[in-house]
Amino acid sequence: MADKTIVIEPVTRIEGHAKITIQLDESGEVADAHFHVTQFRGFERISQGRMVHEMPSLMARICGICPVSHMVASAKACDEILGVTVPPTGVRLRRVLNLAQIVQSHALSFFYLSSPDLLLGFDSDPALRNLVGVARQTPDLARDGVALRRFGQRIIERLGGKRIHPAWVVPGGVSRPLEASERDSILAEIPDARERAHRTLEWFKKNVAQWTEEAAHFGDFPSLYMGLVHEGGNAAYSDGLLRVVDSSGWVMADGVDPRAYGDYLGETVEPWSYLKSTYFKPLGYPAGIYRVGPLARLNVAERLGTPAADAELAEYRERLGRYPSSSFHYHYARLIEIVHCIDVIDHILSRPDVLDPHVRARAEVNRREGVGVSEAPRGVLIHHYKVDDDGLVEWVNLVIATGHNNLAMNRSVLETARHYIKGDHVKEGMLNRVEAVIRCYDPCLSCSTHAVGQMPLQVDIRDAEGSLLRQVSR
Amino acid sequence: MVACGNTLRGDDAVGPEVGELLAVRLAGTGASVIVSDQLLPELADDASRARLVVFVDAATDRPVGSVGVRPVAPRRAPDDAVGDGRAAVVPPRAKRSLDPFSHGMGPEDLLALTRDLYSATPQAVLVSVGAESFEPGAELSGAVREAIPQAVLTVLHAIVEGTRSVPTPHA
Repeated sequence: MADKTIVIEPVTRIEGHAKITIQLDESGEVADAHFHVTQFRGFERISQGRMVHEMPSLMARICGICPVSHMVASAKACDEILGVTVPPTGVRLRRVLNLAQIVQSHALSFFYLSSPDLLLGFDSDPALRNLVGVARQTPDLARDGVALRRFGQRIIERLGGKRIHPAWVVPGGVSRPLEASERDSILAEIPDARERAHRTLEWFKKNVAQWTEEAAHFGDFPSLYMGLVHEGGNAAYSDGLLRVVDSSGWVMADGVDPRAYGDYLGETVEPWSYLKSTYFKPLGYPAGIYRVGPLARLNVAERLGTPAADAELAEYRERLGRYPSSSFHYHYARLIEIVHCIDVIDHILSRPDVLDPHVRARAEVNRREGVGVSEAPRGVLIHHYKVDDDGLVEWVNLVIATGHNNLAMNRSVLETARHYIKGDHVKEGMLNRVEAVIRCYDPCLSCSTHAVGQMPLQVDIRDAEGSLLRQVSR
Repeated sequence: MVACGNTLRGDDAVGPEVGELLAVRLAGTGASVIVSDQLLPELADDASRARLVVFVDAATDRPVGSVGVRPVAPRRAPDDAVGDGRAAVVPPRAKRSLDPFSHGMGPEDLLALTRDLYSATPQAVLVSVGAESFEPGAELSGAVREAIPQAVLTVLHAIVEGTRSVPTPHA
């Protein structure tokens, strides 16, 4: 039997366009696999020459799912360029906005994109394996998903003025203080959101045993993990310092000022993808493979910092170990983070000083360079700018969560393909599992390639000579 | 009323333009105007509370600058069961995979979600305006801009007609 290649294109239910190529050897075993990102955007280039004050709003346009994280990271880079200290209430309001975005994005990832596989089955009819199918099968679960996404979006709309691409986060803080009526409206919706988040988590825990097979083969390998933590080890989402641990808990780097990211993170480009691969420099490429996002955040942090979420975290670790290594567990981690984010939003908005009108510091350009970091739903997000004396942007580097995860996603695709695919007579459900491992990471390809164009993915199966044997695209 | 479109893609902005005008005209009437880049599952919650849903969108299947209105019904659910892991028995042409983030969710899909999630089936119409260009840019073409007053009147007429005989929803 000649070597063969399977192509899955487009990869569905992800945020972006990509394809997967699976190379078979002469005996029909999977020899290699790649996750290709086939779109290109170029925001690092098009932002050159813009005024630094424009950057948060401009950078928000990178993504319609996580514009807030880009705004926050961008504004923090701009804060440093202005040399300002953001008023405490401005810092807290930015946090609320970022946490709300994590809630809505996690709800989208879990309920809309991944729950069809979990609930309807990885082998179920792809035409029905979607949110409508979930709504028909378990309307209660689907309603919870819709409500949680709406909860996060409403907060963004109330604070930022609109759901997508709000322009509220600015260099120096936020553009206007919070109104009491807005705070009260959000607080009134928290009990319902909290109940739905806990109900979903209970549903997941009750059913997780049925996905043991997938959990064992969806990218279960040792790697490093990176995330932001506060001093003391609590997970941080909008502030904090970088920590890197390995799968045994060995701390490889800690207390890293995000300004020093370049000392720890290297970037490389492969000819088959527009998505850069980032690696942990001290271990080199490709040994420095690491993961970011919910799974990594829960691995690097000692605790989350809210009682209910910490109780869930303790159970998670009891079930899976202190440093779970299967990418399938991104789902579980994501649901715990929703619980945590809702509680932190509640805590911040219940503070009497959250209505403080002093929410913005103003200044001209005082430094030529700035680095801003935040946790996007998918993981650590770094914005790094250099400007001239007039504040015109000269150079931009964006290190995006999906780029951090690129090596891990490719390894996960290879591992999953090796387990499920034998020969070129491949059932759709097997290919769906290869796609599903990518969905665990919830990649955002618009963010990570900075791409003009649309967003879908494809699986190719090729022979040893590179001839295309089969292509799956929807 | 759900006004759809991207304000940075030429004539696609006609929905939001009509929506902004009607938000002023309909203030205090009990009507709610939602302007959105695209239809999303979350809007099913709003639709479930409505007696009548009027969708406004740009269209490529009608003459540029013309305004049309037609009733919209929820997409029919396939007859087969879901979730049993077996191959479905839906004829291929009847199958349609919904990805709510493919920018392909239509009014029929949203109404189907409204039915499946909230057991609500509001009456619905689609007011569409024939568009010329969806290229990047913030300007409407002349013919589409001139059609806006007609689109506004069509929506108002649809509301009057649609609410005349529609009972108040249970939700």
